[in-house]
Amino acid sequence: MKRLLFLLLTGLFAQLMVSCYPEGADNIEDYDVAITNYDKSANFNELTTFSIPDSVVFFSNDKNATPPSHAFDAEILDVVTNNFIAMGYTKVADPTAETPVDQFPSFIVTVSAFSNVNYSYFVDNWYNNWDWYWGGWWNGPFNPYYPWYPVSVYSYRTGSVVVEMISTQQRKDNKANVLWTGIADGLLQGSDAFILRRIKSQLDQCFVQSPYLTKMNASE
Amino acid sequence: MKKLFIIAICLFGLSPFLKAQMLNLNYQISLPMNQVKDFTDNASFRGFDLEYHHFLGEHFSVGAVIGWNVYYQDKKHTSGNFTFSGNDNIYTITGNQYRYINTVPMLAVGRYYFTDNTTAVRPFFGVGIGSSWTEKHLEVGQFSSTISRWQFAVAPELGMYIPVNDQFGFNAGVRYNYATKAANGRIPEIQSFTFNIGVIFMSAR
Repeated sequence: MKRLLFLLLTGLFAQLMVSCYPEGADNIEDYDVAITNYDKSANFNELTTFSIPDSVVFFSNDKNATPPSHAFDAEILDVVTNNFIAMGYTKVADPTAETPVDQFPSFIVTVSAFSNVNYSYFVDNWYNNWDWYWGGWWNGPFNPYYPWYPVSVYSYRTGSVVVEMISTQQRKDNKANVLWTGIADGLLQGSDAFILRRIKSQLDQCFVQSPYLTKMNASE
Repeated sequence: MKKLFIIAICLFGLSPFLKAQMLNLNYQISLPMNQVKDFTDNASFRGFDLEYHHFLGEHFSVGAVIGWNVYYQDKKHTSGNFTFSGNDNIYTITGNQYRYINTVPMLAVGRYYFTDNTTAVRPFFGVGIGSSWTEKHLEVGQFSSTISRWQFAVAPELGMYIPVNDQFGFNAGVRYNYATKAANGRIPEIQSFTFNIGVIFMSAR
């Protein structure tokens, strides 16, 4: 009898013996991140001037998304422009077909915004309420079997603002010469003002964590 | 796993010599040390273990332990360098990092009891050897990174159990856990102190 109890308890234990991820993010802004990546072989000191278009390019994976408003373009572009100026670069006009090559800016800044809808499902079993593991959920868009239990589907929208520094010097393989990428990424939830504030904060953070962008003779 | 199976068979083979069996369920509080502390610098209040001991005479017992501990830390606004699977580019990501270490030690334990079974409190010293499964998990923004491995584990312990009657008692003890590092150091060397407190169900034959 005791042995049976022991085996039963071990079996039950083995069921629970999967990882537990307690607590975690509570608020929308807990998911905000600033991501940067740069070309290690780039020499940022050689760069002096830049140009930046006057609008943000939008991408979305969701055909049903309402077309985005360009009302916030100016504020986002301002944050990016001011950060580059603070690093010691000078803003010049966009090059046109008539601009001679030696008057091109050293690099061009592009700002794009992505809005993607992600779908997830979780299984809402009767024992969700007392077992802390089974209350979890996971991403599984391609799960091939038909679930036997009720499945709850939810969607969330993520957004990224991607800033790229593209050198006007040609690469040998004709690919875009991206010197630096800064991304503000997070959940696209909340009021416009809330989202905009978080975008600006993460874009600033992208520059804070890129000290190599600062020109040596910036303070004169 | 095979080692544990062989030990289990040996234990059952010893049945004729056994005087008493003990089933023990403990709640555990664990303090991380060294490399575990570097990753998650918080005590774990989410831990328990299940133990089974067979007495060989009055002063020795052999048994098995299976336990589970979760260490968690919320590192607000931290920067780290990460690579994404598929390429070598290094990305610096700044955000809130949620860090978790789950460990499941599975040990064969031998104990020496300092007193015989007539005393009110029975202190013991023991050593456990076996394997520990550890998973290190980090979440930042929309991204997460998980790695898990089996490690060789050793755990000396000191404790006492307090029999209330022939079938029930209390257990209290402290165990030092050590497990070797794995995956080229990506799974850290586990060093921690675990405080056990729990109940015992006994049967005397």
